[in-house]
Amino acid sequence: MSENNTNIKLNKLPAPTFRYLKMNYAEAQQASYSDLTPKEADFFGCSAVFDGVVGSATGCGKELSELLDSCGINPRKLVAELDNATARCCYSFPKGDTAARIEIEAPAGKGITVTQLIDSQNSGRAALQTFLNAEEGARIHLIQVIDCGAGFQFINDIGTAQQDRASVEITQIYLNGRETIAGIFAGLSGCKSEFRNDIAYLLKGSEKLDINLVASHKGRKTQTEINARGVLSEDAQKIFRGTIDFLNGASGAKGAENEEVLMMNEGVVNKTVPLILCAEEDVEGSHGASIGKPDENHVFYLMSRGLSREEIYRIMARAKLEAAMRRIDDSKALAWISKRIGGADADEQEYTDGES
Amino acid sequence: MKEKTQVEDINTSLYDFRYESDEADMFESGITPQIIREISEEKGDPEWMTEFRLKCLDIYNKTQMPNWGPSIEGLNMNDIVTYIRPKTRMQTDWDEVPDDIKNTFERLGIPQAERESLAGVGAQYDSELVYHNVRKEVAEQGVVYTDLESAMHDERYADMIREHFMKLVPPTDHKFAALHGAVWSGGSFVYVPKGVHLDIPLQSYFRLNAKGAGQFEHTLIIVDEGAYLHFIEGCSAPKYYVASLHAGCVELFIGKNATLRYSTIENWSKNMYNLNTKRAIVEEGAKVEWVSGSFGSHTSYLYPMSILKGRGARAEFTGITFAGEGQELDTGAKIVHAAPDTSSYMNTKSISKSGGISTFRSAVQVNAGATGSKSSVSCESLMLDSESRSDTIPAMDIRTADADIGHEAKIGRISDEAVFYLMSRGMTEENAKALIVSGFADNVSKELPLEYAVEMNNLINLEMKGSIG
Amino acid sequence: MAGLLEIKDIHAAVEEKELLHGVSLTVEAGETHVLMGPNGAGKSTLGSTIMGSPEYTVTGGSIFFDGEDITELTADKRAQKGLFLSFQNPIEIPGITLSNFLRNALEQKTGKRIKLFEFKKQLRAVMDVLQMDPAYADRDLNVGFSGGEKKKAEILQLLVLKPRLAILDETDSGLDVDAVKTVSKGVSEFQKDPQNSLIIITHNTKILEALKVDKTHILVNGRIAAEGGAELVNEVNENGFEKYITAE
Repeated sequence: MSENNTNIKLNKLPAPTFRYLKMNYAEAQQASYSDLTPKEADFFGCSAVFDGVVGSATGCGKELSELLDSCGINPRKLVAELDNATARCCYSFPKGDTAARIEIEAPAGKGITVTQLIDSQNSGRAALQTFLNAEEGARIHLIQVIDCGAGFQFINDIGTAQQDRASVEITQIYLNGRETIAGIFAGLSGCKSEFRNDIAYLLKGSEKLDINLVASHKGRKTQTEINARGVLSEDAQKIFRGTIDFLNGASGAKGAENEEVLMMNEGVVNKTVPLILCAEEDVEGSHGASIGKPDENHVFYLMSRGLSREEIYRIMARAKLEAAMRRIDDSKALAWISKRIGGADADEQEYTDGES
Repeated sequence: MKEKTQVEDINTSLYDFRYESDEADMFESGITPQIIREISEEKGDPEWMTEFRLKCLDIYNKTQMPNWGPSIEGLNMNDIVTYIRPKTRMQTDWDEVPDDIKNTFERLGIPQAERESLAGVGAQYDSELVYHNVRKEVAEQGVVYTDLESAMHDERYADMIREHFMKLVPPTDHKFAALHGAVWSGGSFVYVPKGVHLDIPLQSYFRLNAKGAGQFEHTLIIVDEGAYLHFIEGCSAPKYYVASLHAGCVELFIGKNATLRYSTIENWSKNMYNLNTKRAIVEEGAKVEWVSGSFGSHTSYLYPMSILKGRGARAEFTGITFAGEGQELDTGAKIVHAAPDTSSYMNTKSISKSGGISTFRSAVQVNAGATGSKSSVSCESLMLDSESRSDTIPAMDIRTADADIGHEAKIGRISDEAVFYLMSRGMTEENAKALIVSGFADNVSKELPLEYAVEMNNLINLEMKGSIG
Repeated sequence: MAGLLEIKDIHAAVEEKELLHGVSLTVEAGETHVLMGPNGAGKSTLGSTIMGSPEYTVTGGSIFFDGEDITELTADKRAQKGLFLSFQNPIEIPGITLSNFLRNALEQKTGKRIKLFEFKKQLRAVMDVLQMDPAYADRDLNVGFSGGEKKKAEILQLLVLKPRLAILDETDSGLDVDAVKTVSKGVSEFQKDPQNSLIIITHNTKILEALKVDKTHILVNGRIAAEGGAELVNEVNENGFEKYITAE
């Protein structure tokens, strides 16, 4: 690569495919990021320190980590002290180029739920790198809600390192943002470690979302479940690279990946590359995808009950988000989402809770 | 008007894609324009073909190697140069034919004359007679079934060939398509006139053996409006060549409301790099059905492509790939939905054993404007041990909302319960596993004519022998 | 005086194949009609055509509801005017809960927002009548429901949406005796409003025993082969459809 090339390659497909499809990687311009400190609130059972470490494997890849290193972005660190710790971090990215890094550590037997609420000014660029370190038997649930500006580019990079029986769950909801490049690498090294990822997105206008997800099964009896659901409307574009990688020795491992994409109108572009890489006999891997407009049989059934086509599409789109929202038990995060999607039920959330 | 734009779109994409020059290293091929002229002269090519070959050589020299699939570093281009030179093309010595191939002939019960022909030793044998009889029979229905080289010199077909030859797979498609264009030799030409429904399948097997050709062969099939053809390529017996590259090309033109079924059981010898390109263009209401079994070769890149150009065009792909020791078979299919109401259906199985690597690779593209398109892809992989490897790399690029796209992939192993069940009925473990694998492959065997299905099962049994360590 | 539903010489086809060859019938407000006929006669086709299923193309004739020509209307518009079809095979729709969907449909119909709490109360009451486990309200629409639960969910929607004319397509088929009783109870509940009309498609007369029937139509090969009162049901019961088929 020549020196004056200012683009970095991100989200590389672990096993590249036909070049003409242009799915093998994403590109982003190099930026000089400056450090951004998040607003941290509602800490329970955990503490923040300043000497975090970001592991070598993340979803976006080495080139991003090197760039953030060269910009001097230092990782903060959150350490769980109980088995039900919680924390909420708000990232409000300003104009210009900013970045933040954080390591979340759950020591053996501890558990933590961290909510990252991310929004931004109308224009600018930002990168967030989150590394989840789950030791033996520890649990981490990372919730991310992304609501960036209509002219904003956001790079959202995540890596995990999981010891024996460690479980990590990541729930991501993408509401807004001109261009989002999202990487997730799940390092399932520990025996019986588990990874679950729910992604939901609503893309419209000329928004672009580029996702690279790799679940690397190294340990025995490791498990992965991935659900990616979303809606594309107007001129939106999305690419989802989802890889389940069974390394040799990962006997008894299981991985399941599921994707649902609703395409609302002509003009949208959906690309999907779901990989299953396998070097171990004793594994079970599966992938399923359903892409296109809503099933006409479903539409007729609902129409016969008096719902208009527009209303049905709206409910169906909403259902994609709700599936991911069901994984979130942080009521403030849910309210944050409802407020942004103009949910009729936002005001009734607590009422409903009270009822049940 | 709209239709027209779409057609133009496909044509551009056809000629442009993959003609990229980034990364990957070039290598010296040693093939000179002089060699190409010699080949062309020996064959008595028309002038346009000589020029075409030279243009292809130029493209070949400028095109990069693929940088995404299995390694082809072991491919010895010097061998290839040696063996494509006219007159130096050598007959193989029976003594030099590898033992594993001789053994396979033995086990498959292939007669000696045929063995020698398959191994490139004997020049011709009885099957030539069969070929002549078939030709005579189908000619009565107006069907042309001949070798491409003589057809090119027949004034009745010359224009048709010039009009179609390497128009679907242009030399710019990839490096080995360019090589093929430069050095192609032998192959089949089939033309089925309007409305003719051919009941007997045509089999290239007889022709290829009779000619001893097959390494850079070109198959050109034109099925006219409303016609039906089943074409069978290859055979289950291993084919042996000294030089280790097969870069054939298959171009299928399927007219309005016509159907072409193209079946292949391929068992190249295990030193072969199989870089074959197959492509069909399917007009309005027409259908292509690919049935494909890949058993042989050292390394394969094989992705038959169907371009659904006309409204309501359909493609079906049914495939099985069995990668054994030392093999890396990268196979799959590509579909382009370029018109409204087109549909595609893909069902593939792959098996990896004794360190073999099988990769399923696919691309489904639904262009903008191809409204009402449907695609369903299902691929299943079976790992027989942990020395082997099996990768699934499907890609989908969907650009119309009015589409119904489904994809399913599964990977797994032979269930212990099933083996135990069969063993409890008195079967050996080896037989039980072979039976289960044959059952796994039944998506393809069900689609083949009986004698081929039987041969394929024998082949699977053969591959499964000694699998119990 | 025009009927609530008037079907005038309707022809319907799937792709090129015509399945209904000119069917006419009129249902007055408050009437219950029974539509019988052998398999493949076109009974479900007629039901779906009345509801406006895109699967069938109307190639001739027209459908009037409450004096208005609805032949060209989409299904949602017909539903909002008070038509309802209980599907023979209710569709499973993952991702959308029964309760969420029904509340939406009701809001569309009434044009008013309905408070979640009030809606849940109302839904619960109807579920009690149908002896449905309230947990089904929060499950995805018909997904994983047993045959009986699916049919109950159809009747539940009937009672919540309160249409003026409901077509019940084989709502009783494949159900055990208890489930048929529950469904019948739901249907009687619907009939309590004397203005409500019903078209019951069935070949089982058990469900009809508890209901008053005004008219019976026998459909054979896409045509009305015979019409009569409630007595026709018993006649068919004893003699089958044979004579209508041979008459064809």
